[in-house]
Amino acid sequence: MFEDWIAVAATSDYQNPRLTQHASGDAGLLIYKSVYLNHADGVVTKGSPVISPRVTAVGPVPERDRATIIDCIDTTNWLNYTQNGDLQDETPGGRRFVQALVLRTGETWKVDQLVVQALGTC
Amino acid sequence: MLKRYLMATLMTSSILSCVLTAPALAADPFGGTACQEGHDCDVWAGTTGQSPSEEPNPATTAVPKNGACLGPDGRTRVACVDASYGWLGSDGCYYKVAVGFEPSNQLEVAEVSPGVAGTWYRRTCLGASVTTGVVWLPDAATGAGTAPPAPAVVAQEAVNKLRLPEPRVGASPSAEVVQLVGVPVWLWVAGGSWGPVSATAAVPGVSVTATARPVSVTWDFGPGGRVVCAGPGTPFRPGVDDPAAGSPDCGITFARSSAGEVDGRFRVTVTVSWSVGWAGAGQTGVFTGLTSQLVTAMAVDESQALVVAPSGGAR
Repeated sequence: MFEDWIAVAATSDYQNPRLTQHASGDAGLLIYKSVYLNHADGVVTKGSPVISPRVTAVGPVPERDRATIIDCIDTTNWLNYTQNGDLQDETPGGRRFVQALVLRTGETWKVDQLVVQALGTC
Repeated sequence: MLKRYLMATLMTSSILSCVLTAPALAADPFGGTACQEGHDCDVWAGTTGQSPSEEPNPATTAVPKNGACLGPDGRTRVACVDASYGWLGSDGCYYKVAVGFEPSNQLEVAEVSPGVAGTWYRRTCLGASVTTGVVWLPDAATGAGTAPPAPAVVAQEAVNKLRLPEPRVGASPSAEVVQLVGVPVWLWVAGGSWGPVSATAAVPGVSVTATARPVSVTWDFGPGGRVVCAGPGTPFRPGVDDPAAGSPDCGITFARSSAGEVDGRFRVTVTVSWSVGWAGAGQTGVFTGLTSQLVTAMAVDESQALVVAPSGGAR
């Protein structure tokens, strides 16, 4: 999911269908809106975050088609830049606590809910 | 499995108890879309996901009290309209039309009320931190209030931005010299200060252009007389026009001198009346009562030596 977001955010092409390959539900809407806001502001996101997801719950049995993932994403090197190549602002990135609910349909897992906390929350 | 589930529960519970810091808008792509306290921030245990959060319903714009809008704390004065963020809603967040936004099919299904006319807005909530988002609001909720504002309201802003030129006036004989009783004086407003003036005011979703056009000019000489001209008047052309003849459309022939006035001169107030039409957002309208003014003075003497009687003899 983050690879899709990283790739699409690099051009702020918010309508790119790649965003739906691994995201659905509220998470898909959040990402779509987020990339649109960058598109509207004329900025693109360069670099990539450091992620280290951990599954904290899987269920329910017997389907096991839902899982909760938590992460502490470091956005120090994943920041918005203007068309001129300048940083959008001087606020540095940082660590954000992220929780995701992923749902399985067949062999495909998609992030369905995504909660991104403020900087410095992990 | 159960043990793992319990661990997850404990972990998320401890996270819940964390105190969230409130940083400013960050330059990472989460920026203002990250959750803020009390909004889309619920973490959950297990695999249930978060319960649906209730979207605040801005419904209408904030109603200014004594010409000022108040922030979320109910005390701080904030701008009712912000050039960047748009109009303040009753929920304390600013709204502006999300220009060019094309929702995905999923977004349409999730947020748009079928068969209801509505608009996508960019919502910016200012607080300890800045959050931004995109929301759909039915037009019925926003149109009945003032968000987006009625075109007539924006038109008033456009009118306020109009910079009407001060009339540059001409007279013949020149206003610098002493006029004479009984001698026709040509009066005119110079072309540069007589012509249409436009100004545009725009708020999210509504842009209105107001155009002012000069209609008439009033020359008020106080005790010396008053002339209303339907146009700018005609400049006197030396060597072409007859100085003994009056202006074809805007002039005065003084009947008394200004000797008894302050400084021995008539105070002259030249007032140009403008008609203002506005158009925008599919509507048009007219404002009246706009004027531009110049105050000057003119001396008039009853020079008997130069006033020629019809018989040809000096009086």
